[in-house]
Amino acid sequence: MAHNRTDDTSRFMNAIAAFSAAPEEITVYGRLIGTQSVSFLDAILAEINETVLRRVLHFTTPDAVSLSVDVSERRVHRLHALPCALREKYDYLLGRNLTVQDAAAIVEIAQALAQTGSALYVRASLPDKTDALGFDGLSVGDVLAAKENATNASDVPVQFGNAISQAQKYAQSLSVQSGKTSLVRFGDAASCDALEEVSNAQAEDGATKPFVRLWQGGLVAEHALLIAMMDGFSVAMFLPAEHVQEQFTLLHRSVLQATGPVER
Amino acid sequence: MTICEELLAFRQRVAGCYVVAFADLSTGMVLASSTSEKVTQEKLDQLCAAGFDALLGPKAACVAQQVGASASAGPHMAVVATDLGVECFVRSCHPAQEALCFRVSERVHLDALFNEAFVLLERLVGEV
Repeated sequence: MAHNRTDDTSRFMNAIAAFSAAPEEITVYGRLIGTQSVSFLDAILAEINETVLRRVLHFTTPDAVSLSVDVSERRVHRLHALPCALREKYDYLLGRNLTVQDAAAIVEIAQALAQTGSALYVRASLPDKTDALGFDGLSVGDVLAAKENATNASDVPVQFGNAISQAQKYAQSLSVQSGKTSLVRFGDAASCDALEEVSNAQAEDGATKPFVRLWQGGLVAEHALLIAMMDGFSVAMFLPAEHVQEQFTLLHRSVLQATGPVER
Repeated sequence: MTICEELLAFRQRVAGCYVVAFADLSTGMVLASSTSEKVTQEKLDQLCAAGFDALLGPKAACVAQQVGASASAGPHMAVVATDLGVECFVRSCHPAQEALCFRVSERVHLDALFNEAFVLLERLVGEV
């Protein structure tokens, strides 16, 4: 029997259409969700956050770089396809249930996708298999937290740079290292060598968390030794005691507070 | 004043000082303490151990060897700041190994803390 709309149904449909947003552009790649002016990661997360029923979301750029994720109840459960350039590195993620520990990898994948094109499209499909997804998966909050950490890590050289430029005004000697490799040396060579010896001894201690350490009293010329270490970078400076407070505060703020709130 | 009263007065005098402990670094024993809120003995022992590490441990020995005023004298003051907080340590001169260990706010004024701490430490060591 042919289905005829009643006048009421037509009015109802028209009312819904009136409330709808402006039609989005649909192309062969899918619906446009990101352009250069919009963070691709934010666009991907917004799309995931709006997906309650189980769907496979295919994110694609005009260069045919694609990322496919299995999403249900606003959580990413599995990766089905990766951009070619990242397949070798993240092959281990494909097809398995994702957990919070995979959030940083998802951020990196999304950011890599952003660098490959000027636009990002999405289309949704039903999953090939309807097996249970379990209770794992990544929430949008997990990915945002990983993104925040990634941002902090990339800021480390900048923060150290600010501290170094300030320290050069007062420090008698200063040394900056990446691991055990010298990046910057300032002051007499013997003093820089001594600073590097102390820095390396700190690193060999197995300390992995960022820290700032200060020693004062009983040192040459009544100076103080200040060392900050974060993400494999270290700054060591030998400076007069009267400038310790300023430099300590600067390093403490730039290095430690970048990693999160300081607790008592 | 008793040692505990001295520590309490110090903590009230120095803004941003939450914990002050008078310890014997040679034995790792906390002799007296004053805290702004309840702190377990385990935490105080950890603070004392951190003090030993910062002032007399291998790291301090390395500092003394590289930039010490003399080979035998190590640093008298140390500050260790991590994402968990800021700890300061002040020790008396050799051979006595008593020290004051502090847990402080990141905004504490180090010069003021160290100056006050040295005066207090000399007085306490004289009393012990």
